[in-house]
Amino acid sequence: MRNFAMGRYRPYNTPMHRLDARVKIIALVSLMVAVFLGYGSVPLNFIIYGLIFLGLVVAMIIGKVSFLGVLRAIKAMWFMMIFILLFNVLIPTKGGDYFLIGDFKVYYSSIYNTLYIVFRLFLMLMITSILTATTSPMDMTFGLEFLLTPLKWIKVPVSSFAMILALALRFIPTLTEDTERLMRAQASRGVDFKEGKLKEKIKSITSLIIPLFSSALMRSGDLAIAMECRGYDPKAKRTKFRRKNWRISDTLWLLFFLVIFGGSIALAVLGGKYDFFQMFLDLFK
Amino acid sequence: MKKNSKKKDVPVIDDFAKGTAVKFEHVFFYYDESEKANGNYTVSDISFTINPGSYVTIIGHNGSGKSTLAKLLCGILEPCATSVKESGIYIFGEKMTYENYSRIQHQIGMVFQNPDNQFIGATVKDDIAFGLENDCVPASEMEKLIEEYSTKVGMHEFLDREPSALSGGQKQRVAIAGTLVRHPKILVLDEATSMLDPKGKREITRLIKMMREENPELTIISITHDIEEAYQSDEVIVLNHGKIVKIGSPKEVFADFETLKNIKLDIPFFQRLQDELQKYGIDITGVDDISSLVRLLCR
Repeated sequence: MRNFAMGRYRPYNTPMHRLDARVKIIALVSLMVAVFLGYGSVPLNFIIYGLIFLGLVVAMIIGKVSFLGVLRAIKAMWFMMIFILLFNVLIPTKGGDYFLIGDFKVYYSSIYNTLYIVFRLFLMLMITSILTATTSPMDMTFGLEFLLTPLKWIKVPVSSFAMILALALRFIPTLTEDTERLMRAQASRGVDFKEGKLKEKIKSITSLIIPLFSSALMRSGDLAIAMECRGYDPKAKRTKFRRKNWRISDTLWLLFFLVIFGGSIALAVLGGKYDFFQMFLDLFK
Repeated sequence: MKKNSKKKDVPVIDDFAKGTAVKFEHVFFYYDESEKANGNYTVSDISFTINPGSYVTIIGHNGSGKSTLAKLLCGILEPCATSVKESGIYIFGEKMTYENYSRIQHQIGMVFQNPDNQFIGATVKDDIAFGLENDCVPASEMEKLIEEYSTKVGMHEFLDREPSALSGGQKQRVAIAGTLVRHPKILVLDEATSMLDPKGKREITRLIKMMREENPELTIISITHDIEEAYQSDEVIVLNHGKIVKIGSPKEVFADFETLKNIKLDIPFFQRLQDELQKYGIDITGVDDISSLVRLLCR
């Protein structure tokens, strides 16, 4: 579990790492929107996805994000992809072109739909792994807290949520260690986590989950006391140790991603009315 | 304890506890009603006084109420109400109540047993900064304070390390730095060395010694299983079943073999040796540490 490669923060000093966490979170949101919109025609959709893909590859190279991690995650999804394909093929569509496998009509549109979903998921994985691999948990929490500031005005305890998130991230390695320790302890008592039928496996997992929960609860109790002893009060004002200096490059990138955000929505709305790809081809006639 | 910030919170020093760092006066505590009904209090009628600048150890076997005592001292638990008017906990002469406990808590720093469960920040730096953030210290000052205190505990080169890359002793030193950086007047160590290996233990013991030399006004209260550590302190309080069995200087306390044996506590090696030698007519009273004892015996 500790070798979980995808999205694990790697402390390098690249331009991607130096980019402000707030900009990166906004970029994540705007790219997600761009990825999940449809732009009217099949070729245009793939052109836009391709452009995003190229951009992300460049970002991954600059940020020294591991490709292998993303590929491994994709490999783990093959079952889901086949499932999506089957679903799309079996569900009757409106019509259009098709080819025959035996007597069964397979519509091109259902294949495109599957490809869209797979491609979108792949891009999503790339985007999130870039964000998490180049942003330290502390910066991410800080960024989220800042971006959720408007919620503070309607009395949502944003700082507390940010603290919870920071603590959750801080305790992942500790709980992983706990799990490994418990697995060894239970294995030495004869519990087999790797072999056996599904029912047996589920049973053996129970012997892991209960002590893990109990230790996590005890830890959280201790942690709460330790925090109180160091003067933490969720309602009180606190200063911040980690300050982020906003730079000109941050502003430029922010503008760029806002343009992508607005542009993709505009293109999707207009794409429903006009076939931009055909218009583009017509230019060359 | 819950806070009641609406009431005015002004320090009121009781003459009764003036000049003391900590004063427990007829303190009782129980976790649930059944304990009370049976008369088995977790902490029962505890009274003692600790002077400013002293180093006091509280010893006792498991379940003797040591850690509950520490939590009472820090205001995490509240003592039960009694009919005695003065009953309560006094910190620098001021009685701890609902209204003032968060202010009083500021004077007390606490280091716990499990090094992992008190490491709050993502890195050493963030962890030391946590208390300062709560105290609303400006970020520019934080940097200086973190430098200063991490150097004091010998963790300066590890400032950017994550907790998983540190040993238990190192984490405990970070916890001490994170506590001391808030300038407490009382430092409570709740079995701070019990989960450490011998090396980690030595590091912490050395650190305590250094802190005392550097700041003689700092009152240190250490709750411990380590009899050898207790032997180094100014005063020892022995607890059993929530009651004080013995209180006094280490020499006085550890001279009473029988009582300690009855409550299943160990006797420090030095004291045991002294006693055995005494049986053979060798008097080593006046010798305080192992090296001078070895010198005396080899003569």
